[in-house]
Amino acid sequence: MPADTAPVSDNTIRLSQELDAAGRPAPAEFFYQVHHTTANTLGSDAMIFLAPLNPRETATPGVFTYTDPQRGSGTARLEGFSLIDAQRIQELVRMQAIEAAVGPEPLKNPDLELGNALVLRSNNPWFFLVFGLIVLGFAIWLLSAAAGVGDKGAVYTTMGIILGAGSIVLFVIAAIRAPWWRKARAEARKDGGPLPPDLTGL
Amino acid sequence: MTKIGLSPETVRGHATSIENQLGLLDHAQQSLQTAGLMSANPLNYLLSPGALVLSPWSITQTSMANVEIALARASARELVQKLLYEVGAQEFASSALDGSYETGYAWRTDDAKKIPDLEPGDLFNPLNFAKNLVDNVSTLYGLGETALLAAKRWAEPVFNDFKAWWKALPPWAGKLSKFGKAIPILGSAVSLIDLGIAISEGDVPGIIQHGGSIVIDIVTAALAPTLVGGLIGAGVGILWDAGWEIADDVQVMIENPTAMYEYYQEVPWMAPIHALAPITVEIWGPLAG
Repeated sequence: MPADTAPVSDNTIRLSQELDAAGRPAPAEFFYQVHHTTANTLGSDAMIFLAPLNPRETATPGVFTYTDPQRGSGTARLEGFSLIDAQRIQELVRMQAIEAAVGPEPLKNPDLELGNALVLRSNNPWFFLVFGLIVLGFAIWLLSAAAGVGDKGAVYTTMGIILGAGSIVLFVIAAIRAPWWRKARAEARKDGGPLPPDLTGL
Repeated sequence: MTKIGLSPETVRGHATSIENQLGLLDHAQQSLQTAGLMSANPLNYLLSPGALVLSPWSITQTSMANVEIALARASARELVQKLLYEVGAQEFASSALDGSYETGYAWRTDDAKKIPDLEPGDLFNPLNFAKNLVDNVSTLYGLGETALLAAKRWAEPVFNDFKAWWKALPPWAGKLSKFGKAIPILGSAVSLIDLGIAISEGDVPGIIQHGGSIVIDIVTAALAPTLVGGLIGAGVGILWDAGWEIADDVQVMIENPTAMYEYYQEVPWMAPIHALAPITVEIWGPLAG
């Protein structure tokens, strides 16, 4: 996605180039306005442009260094973003650095702008493990009670088997995500500071 | 529970007594009617022509009396029914708790006829309270997000205005939007509680309903990384819940057809709220619970 040379107001990334692709000093400024083009947050949409630039955090929030073999290197500054969007871009830039160190996140969930309350999802593999154990418990309860409920036994057995299969799905998700989760958290701790929200809680 | 005002049991006793008296009146009216008919048409009753049960000038008066008794009896029965309805209203008022009365809930037995004694657990059940709170908050939050999705698709300027307003809010607003992610998880927890209750009570429809909800949640979580799969799973979950909700409402209406009328007679101020936001009928209305 090409950047513009004229400044724009809202949701803009200002690229202050210092070196060109060949590594020669070539000061220049470019502007890129982020538009909402997907169902994800504006932060994720901004990362479609930022990610190939390999951004890295600096001490100043909203300012990143970048190194793009095809474009050059310099600093990228967020301008005209709301606080919520700017914070999200900051988090995603940090997550990109972590993924570069430990590998891509398996079964990565979408970063939904809307629909959060509709879709059950979690980054935390331990959530899936606990959820799976509880569901397995209910499956065992149903199957063990099936014999003593007469005609209702078929429903108990069927639902018990379905929930048992569901618990296996949850265990598989947990098993796939857990190794990456552990490594990513360890990598995030190396930087110091709080863990990014994508690696905490549910 | 202490009841203030009339005693429903006493009034019901009086009503039964009046009904018995009206039954006697039925017999008297029937005899009068028969006498009138016999006098007007003796041959129909195997009487000799010319034989008189009543004198000719009494026949018209007898017919008039018959009609008047029938009307009086109908009026008396209507009054008794009205009295019994007032008894029902009195029971409703005296059995509703302050808080629940405000929100439209009435504390009654399942058969909606008797008022049980009040137990401490009836005043506040933490589990039910937490479950209902999570359920209602999730429903409202989910509806809000669905409305925003619809606005984004069909009324983009409205959506953009809302987004601009939302993003101008302080940082706590961002945390609130992240809270949305916890809603489906809380919803699954509620389904697990409901499933546990259904199993312990041997409630087969409940087991299918809540077990099915959990299975849909699991499939949705497994498909969430594909985005489209997650949204389809969420849609199936909404249809599943809505289907059971509608079935419950239909059952309530069949079992107690006057429930809506009685509710709005007691809590009329909820009517405009329900008219403006029909979903609130399910949350704070005659179909709640």
